[in-house]
Amino acid sequence: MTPPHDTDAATPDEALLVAYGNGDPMAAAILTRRLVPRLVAFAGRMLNDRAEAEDVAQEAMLRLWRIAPEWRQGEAKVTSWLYRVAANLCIDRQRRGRRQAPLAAAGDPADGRPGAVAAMTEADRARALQAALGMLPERQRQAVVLRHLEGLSNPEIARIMDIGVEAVESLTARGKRALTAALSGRREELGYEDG
Amino acid sequence: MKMAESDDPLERFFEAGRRQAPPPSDALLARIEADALAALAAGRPAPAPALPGWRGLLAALGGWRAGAGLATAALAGLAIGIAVPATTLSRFDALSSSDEGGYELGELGPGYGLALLEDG
Repeated sequence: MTPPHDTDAATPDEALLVAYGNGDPMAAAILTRRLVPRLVAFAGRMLNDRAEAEDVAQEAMLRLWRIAPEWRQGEAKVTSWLYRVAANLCIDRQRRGRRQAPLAAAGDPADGRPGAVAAMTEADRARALQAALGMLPERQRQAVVLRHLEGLSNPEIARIMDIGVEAVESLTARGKRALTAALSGRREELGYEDG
Repeated sequence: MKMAESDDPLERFFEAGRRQAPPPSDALLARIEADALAALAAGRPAPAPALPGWRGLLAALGGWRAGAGLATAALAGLAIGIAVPATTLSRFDALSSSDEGGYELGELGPGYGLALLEDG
């Protein structure tokens, strides 16, 4: 199947969702290409398991398709709604006792392409970060991932997590302190040049 | 002093994490699009084709049962309209032209006339 081209990137997610709810399948295809990469990345960071992350993304999108005909415009951002659903699905899975994947499975080593050394360094940093995120309490991890990896604003994270903005700031601050401590073995990358 | 985000030493790790996020598989995207089409089909029955002429009108009224009820009511109304006015008019004429059509005060109740005499 030829992937649909997002010809109008300025079309808001909500407009596409309403179009889908009115029976436009192409709107669903564009939303899928636009939103699923973010969901998979978010769930992957929360669960450290690629297969489970894809399951969460599929389930969250299925719920979006089902709610589309009754979507109340202007009440919530589509992305906020999806992050909230995905976060709850991730927490459910974590609480069911799913074991975190071993660190070695977090990514593949870089190949021998030109610039592979730089890529490997970046991949190492990404793996180290993923391992450190896995050690955070789930609420801290969620706040840090949404703020610093997904790039959401604190008020938007507050709405997703159903807490106040100050609580978001507290969670991200504590999460970052814990990450710094966990990554302290990589002092040069953290910017600590001397002892 | 609060550290600017660009000076945040963790930012190098965050940037690496953002850049290294693997894209979703084509199989996942295909499954999700299939879900979307299935949800669309499940929640929205195919519209009935428009019926031409009187069949369309009948469908708009609510089907053959509603149409039959409406036709019966129309015929009954027509029959009443034809048959009843003659009877009604003849009764009206009889009442208005006859002396027996009026009422005297004494006819309103058996003791009404006596009651008036006693008060006066």
